[in-house]
Amino acid sequence: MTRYIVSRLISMIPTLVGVTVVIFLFLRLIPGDPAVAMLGEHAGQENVERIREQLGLNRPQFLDREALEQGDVKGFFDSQYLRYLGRLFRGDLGASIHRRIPIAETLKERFPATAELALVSILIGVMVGVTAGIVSAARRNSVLDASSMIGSLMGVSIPIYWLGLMEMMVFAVALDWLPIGGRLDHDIELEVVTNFYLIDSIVTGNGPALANTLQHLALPAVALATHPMSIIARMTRSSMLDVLSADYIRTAHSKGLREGVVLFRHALKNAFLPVITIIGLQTGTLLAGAILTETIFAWPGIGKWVYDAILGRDYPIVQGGTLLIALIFVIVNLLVDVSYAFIDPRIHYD
Amino acid sequence: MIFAAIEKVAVEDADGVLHIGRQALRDALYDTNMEGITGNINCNDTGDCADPLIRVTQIQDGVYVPVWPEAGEMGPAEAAPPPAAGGTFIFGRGGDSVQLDPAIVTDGESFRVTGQCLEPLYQYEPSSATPIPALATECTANEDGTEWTCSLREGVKFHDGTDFNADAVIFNFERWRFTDNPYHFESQVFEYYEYMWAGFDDASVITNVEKIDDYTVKFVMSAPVAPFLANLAMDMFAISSPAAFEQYGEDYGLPAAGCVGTGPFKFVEWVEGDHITVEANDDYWGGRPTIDEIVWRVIPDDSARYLALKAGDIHALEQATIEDIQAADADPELYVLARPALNTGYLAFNYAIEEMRDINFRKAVAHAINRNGLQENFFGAYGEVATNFLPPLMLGHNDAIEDWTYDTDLAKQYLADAGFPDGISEVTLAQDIVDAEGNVVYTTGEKIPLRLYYLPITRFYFPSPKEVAEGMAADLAKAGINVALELAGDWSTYLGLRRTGQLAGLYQLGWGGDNGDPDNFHAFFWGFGGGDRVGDDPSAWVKTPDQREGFYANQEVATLCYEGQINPDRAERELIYQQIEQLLHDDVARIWLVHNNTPLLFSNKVSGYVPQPVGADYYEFTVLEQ
Repeated sequence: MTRYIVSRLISMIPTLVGVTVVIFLFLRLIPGDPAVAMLGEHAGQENVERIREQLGLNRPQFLDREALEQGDVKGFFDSQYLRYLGRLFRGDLGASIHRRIPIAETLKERFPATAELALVSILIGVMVGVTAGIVSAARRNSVLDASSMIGSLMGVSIPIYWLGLMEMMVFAVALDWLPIGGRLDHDIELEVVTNFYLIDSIVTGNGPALANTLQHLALPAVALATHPMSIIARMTRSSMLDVLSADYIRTAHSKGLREGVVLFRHALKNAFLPVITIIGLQTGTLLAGAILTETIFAWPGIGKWVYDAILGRDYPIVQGGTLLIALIFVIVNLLVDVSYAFIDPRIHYD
Repeated sequence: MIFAAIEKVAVEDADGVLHIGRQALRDALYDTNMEGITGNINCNDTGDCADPLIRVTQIQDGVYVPVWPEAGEMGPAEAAPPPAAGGTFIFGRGGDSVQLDPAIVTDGESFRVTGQCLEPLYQYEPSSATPIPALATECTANEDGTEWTCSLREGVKFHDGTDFNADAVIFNFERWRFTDNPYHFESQVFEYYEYMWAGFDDASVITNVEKIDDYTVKFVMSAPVAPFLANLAMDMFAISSPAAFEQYGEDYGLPAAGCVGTGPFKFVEWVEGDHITVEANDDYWGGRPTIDEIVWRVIPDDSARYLALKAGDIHALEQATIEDIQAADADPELYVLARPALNTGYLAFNYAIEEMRDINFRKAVAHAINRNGLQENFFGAYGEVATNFLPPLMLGHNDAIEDWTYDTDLAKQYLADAGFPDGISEVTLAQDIVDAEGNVVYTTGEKIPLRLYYLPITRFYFPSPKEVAEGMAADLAKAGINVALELAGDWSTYLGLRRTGQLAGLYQLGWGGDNGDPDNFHAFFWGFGGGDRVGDDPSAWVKTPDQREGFYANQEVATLCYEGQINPDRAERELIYQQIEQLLHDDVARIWLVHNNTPLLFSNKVSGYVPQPVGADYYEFTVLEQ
């Protein structure tokens, strides 16, 4: 197992380098220029050229053939991409073109915001989705099954934008129970340790901050959870139904085992592999930032940040952000693969 | 009350000129103690003047007789005390600030904050674009406008406790101007200094800022700059504390450092993507603001921002959908204030297209579009149809211009005169158009569909660009001008195509003024470019077609733009810009559509907010009912 994990970790390096090439190339294939985006309606020929030079955007993208022809080997490698890669290997993600703030610094603040929301959402999604899936499968064709499947169909069909606004209208405007947007009220003091506000408020023993963080999390987390919750519920149900019709389940029943034991010890464990895969994929997707949810709920995460950077052609942010997202997916996939071995003893990696 | 206060403080000099000290007038108003209809009027330390107990009194035979409450009866006004001062004013906005060093940013969301924290030497009069003194008490020019001497306000301190004086002014101007200044960091782009003052180092039109004494500076110019005071009042030229640069270096303006100036509010914190907080400056030279704090909250979604206002999470917002503005108008808990328009949305022609070089074609387009209809349907009560490029509140706006009428038959007639009696849907390139890399994108003689490019995003001068374009296309079709609507990519792409003249057809765009001066509108579009200014004799300069402006060139207009730039006489400048407007109108250079007053939505708990057509809004007069 250890050898497998190490080999997977090593294989991540070329994958991630490949990601940097693809992102770098695609970003520059999109029409538009960071200098023009920065200057807006004021963009004139001379100032655009000056800013491009200042930002190093007038260097060749991959390799400088002209420099090589002139015998300048160092100049040959002095390209935008290799400068970026060089900095990357030194652990430097660069700085935002527009704001000049180091990417790593912003990621330290924004990624925990996204991760906190994503993890709470996936937790809600798994708890509700798996429960609904099991109940539906165990009570197939019952009213409970029908209502949970209709609910899950609605969950995947309702646009998150609409759902978010409805939540706000009901719980914030009409009932005045919960706040609209943000992670914490501006007048709540919280000593930031990890930038995960739930953890920080617990670690520092700050009850009001914990309560306020939970209030702020409630609406976006529920909105964000609906989609994965529905998918997980449907996947759990169909996987459970497959397993429940297997011979060994009939055998278990005929041995006189209780329903709960049959369902959870025998059926769920075997039905859980595809569900785990889905949970992994959904976790990766949510950790990559949910642009719509972050926009509606004014959640200062990485989704909206990277999206705005694409519109503003802020190359370093897009490159840094997408690299992080790729890393998340690679790690989540590895964790899912490793978890198979723990759930199903038939799977070995050695 | 105001007259009584003026009477108290005004001083008449030997020439009969009446001098009224601003602070003295303010102090006298605060000292008010007079008998009014509602009772004895006093002013509290936040400037609220009223009798603390409202009464209704009737004058009978020249004597005030109490009507309500009657003797011994307690009225509701007595039971409910007047609104307390202070509180945290929360303003919802669509995006975060880029940076809080105003010299290196160009976005309104940054200036929204820096405008409270920092002050320039001049500022704009509330609700107007007229420059008035701020950190300078007065600036006067020499006869030919090449030297400006500014007296600085004494006794003012930066938020870090250091003194504001001539050295601080010189420090800031030298930092902006000299590329080798240790605080003119290589990674920073001082876009507006270069743009407003003609360049850096030796190219700068400000050739020296001399210290006359601790509170007097002299700006020496290489040429007269008529909009000097308007430029000086821009948010980008607000004065930061030199000590703050020594402390923070390149990080000045970033979230950890914020901004350090002399303004009515002091920077407190910036949680990126979430909020920025500033607090009242107790020692502000103009008097402490009424509110204790301002929090600008980022809520990117327009609908969510409106719901936050409805829920009471925020007190005010900018940028709302037309539906939400209408709802706010009808909501007794909310009200709408309009920011006076200093912008113009327009439809441009690309003069690289043969047909668009024909004035008959341009007139056909002008008469075919029902601009009143577009304004009513897509801009609502806050838009006004534009007859000039300059909005009505600006110097040089020409009221005498006779607007293009909406007349489909006349449009058809002009189209026939242009050689298209049966309508037009295809046009011909009259010259090559090349992209930024020099590749030919369109070749001379090439036939292309007649396109109308619409903005890919909402701008303050175009709230619904696609819908407006559809309305235009329908109007144009009635006159036989058949346009294909074109979405040319996102905003950055659109601007890039505009810059290289690749928006080959009719295209939407607009402009928002930077300093309220007509030079800032006209010279950018039609003035002589850097390449046109060959030699020292301006009369020999030749205006060449500018690809960024759809290859438009008008020698007469360019010459007038130059004259407007150097003429210090306000009345003469007004005539110059009115003449420019007339020439552009006669040439149908572009079709001005709408000036859009920007609506801001407020909770009824807020009063006293002053939206500015140019420069930062005034928050220091805002009162928040607790």
